[in-house]
Amino acid sequence: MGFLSSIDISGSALTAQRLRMDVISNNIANAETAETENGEPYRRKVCVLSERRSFSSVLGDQIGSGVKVSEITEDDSDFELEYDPDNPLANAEGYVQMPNVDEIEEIIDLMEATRSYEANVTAMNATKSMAIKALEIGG
Amino acid sequence: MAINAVSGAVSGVGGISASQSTAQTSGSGFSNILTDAINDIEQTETEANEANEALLTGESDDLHTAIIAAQKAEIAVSYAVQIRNRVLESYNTVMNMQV
Amino acid sequence: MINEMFENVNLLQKGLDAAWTRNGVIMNNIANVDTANFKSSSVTFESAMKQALSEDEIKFEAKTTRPEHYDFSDSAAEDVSPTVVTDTDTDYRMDGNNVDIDYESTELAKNTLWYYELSEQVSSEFSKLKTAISG
Repeated sequence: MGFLSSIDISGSALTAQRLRMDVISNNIANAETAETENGEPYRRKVCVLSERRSFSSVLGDQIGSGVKVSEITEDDSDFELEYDPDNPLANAEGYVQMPNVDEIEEIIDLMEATRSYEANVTAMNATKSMAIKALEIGG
Repeated sequence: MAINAVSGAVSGVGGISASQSTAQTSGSGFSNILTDAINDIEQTETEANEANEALLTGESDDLHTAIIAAQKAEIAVSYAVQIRNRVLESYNTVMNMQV
Repeated sequence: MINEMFENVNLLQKGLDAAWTRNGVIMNNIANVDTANFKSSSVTFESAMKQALSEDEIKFEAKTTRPEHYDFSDSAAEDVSPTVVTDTDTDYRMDGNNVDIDYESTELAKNTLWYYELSEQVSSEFSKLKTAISG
């Protein structure tokens, strides 16, 4: 445990949520990317969050040490099909494979990530003000 | 009545030597308090040092522990100083008594 | 003598320790609000302390009828420490996460104010002691 290591807990969440926001933004930016380097449409990416545990904490490991993005995986769901026979990428039936990104879902996720980010900023500020208050003990 | 006057005079004489021995016992009573106060300084001093070390090495997580330990040490010193002053005062008072 | 002088401060310090621990737990809950299968935790302290203090009161009454001087180290209150409890009972959302962000936010606010109040009381104890000592 380090000095004011409890602030690291919130710090880890800020990092994780920011990464998550980046991934979501990337999904949104590529929502119409029908062809990537591997010939396939862009595949939606998802952040997997898991709790961070530190083994040197004072109370054994009863208090977790925040959160981390343990991996960024690809969403395996099927690509969308869009009817566009004039598109050079269209298949025999005139359908083009489009990314499996639902923009509305991504925006909701983004709002959620933002709200979590803000909640963690509030928590961090609360800890800071508690520490500053402690400094005033004894005048 | 006369008997009371005599016993009064006797106890008066006894009273003076009693006050001398009281001065001695209160002297040792005070020295006990002073010794205790000095031990308390040592104890609070140690705790404050440990708290500071924890702060320096990044082992402590919170602020209030070190601050409270420092305040306690300060008060312990203050207290011992006051005791010492009172001891000196009483000693001087006793030494200046006309016997 | 010092231990008696600092009786109140020591108790208040326990409260501060508990509030700090609780702060860490709340922060971890908030940090993991989006983590799948994460279960929130809380800190118990106040009820244990209340119990200990009422036990001590009973002990005090018994002791005042005896000539022995009261020894603070005998008190149950000194042994009370904060305990972290994980809430595995409630299933809040589909991803198995049961953190209620609104609840945690109010707990955060309450706990912060509690910490402030305890700090104030400690300060006030110290200035009382300083005044008493220096006259």
